Amino acid sequence: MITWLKKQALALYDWVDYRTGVQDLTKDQLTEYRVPPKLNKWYSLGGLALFVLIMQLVTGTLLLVYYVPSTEEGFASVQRIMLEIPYGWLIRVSHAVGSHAMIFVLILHMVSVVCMGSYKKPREITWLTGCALLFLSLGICFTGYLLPWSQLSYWATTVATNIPEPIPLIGPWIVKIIRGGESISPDTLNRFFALHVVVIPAVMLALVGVHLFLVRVLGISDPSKNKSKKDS
Amino acid sequence: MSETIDKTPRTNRRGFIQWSLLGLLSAWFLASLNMIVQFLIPPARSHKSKDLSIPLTQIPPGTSTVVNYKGSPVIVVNSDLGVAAFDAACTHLGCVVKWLPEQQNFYCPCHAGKFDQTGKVISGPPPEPLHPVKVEVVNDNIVFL
Repeated sequence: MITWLKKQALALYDWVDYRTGVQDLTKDQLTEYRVPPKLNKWYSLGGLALFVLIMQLVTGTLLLVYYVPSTEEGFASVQRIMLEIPYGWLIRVSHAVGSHAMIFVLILHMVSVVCMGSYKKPREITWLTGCALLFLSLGICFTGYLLPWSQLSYWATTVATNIPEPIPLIGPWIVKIIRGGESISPDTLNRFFALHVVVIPAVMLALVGVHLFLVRVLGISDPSKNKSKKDS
Repeated sequence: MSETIDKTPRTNRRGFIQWSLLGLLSAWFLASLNMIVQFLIPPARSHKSKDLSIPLTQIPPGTSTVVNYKGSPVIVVNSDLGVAAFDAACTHLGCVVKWLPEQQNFYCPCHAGKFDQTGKVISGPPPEPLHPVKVEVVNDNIVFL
């Protein structure tokens, strides 16, 4: 029975492999992927950021099941997630803690890249997409903060959306665009919800794709190599 | 010291670590999966119907409203005959009936069943009248008994 199952599984694997070349791909990119010697723990931060991103996608999707994006029911639905739904508290708090973890990890990642000089030629595009990802992460944190529609999120968003106002000429106009009106209103909640759930995640995923593609194409940077080149 | 180190690969130790890691990951995965499944199971509606009442001003004469009472939709009308409430499920196939203010009767949008203000069938396929729900007006509040 087990040998038969094994045979069938292998046959299926062969079938897929013949059509996708998945075996060579895993060999090249995973099991026999060559990394520079003397990698330290700072190299794990990009992978850690990816892990946090996946956690945020999973918990965020789960929250979307019960959250209602409206000024009347938004807060009540968040309360329901926290108090009534099994493990709802864990998922929501994971999402909130994960957002902090994301920024923390990204900044550490950035510091390590700067200190090791990994942003230098030919990795400029990787660096720039990474910078864009940091700003998008800040944006997604900012838009997500309003969604519970609590006193804290309301006033925090009021204060934060006031920031561009002193800009000469266009300041008040920018504030109006961000808020979708003169003040924080149901329209603000709806546009923040759209940004938080659809727009920013989609752009982030696309940029993460470019970022990872470039990391694999250019290979992991090896500061020891750069140094030896300079020395010699 | 270095000569004493055995250079042959310790396959047993490696296998042990691999299986431990796999076990740990599966345990973590199963725990997360359990959490997600529990989260997604439709929660039992907490219908501790804490003396549901509606202010009479919410349904002026001739209008109606549908409320959730003990987990099922109940339609409350303020018709010529006063305030009455019915289980909003049509007795035909269970669609939620609506109140037509102009005609002062209930209409089921699924198969055009019609009921009068007292819930009796006027026309259409419903086999029996709407099931009444007992309500009473106390201090300008409609109270479910």
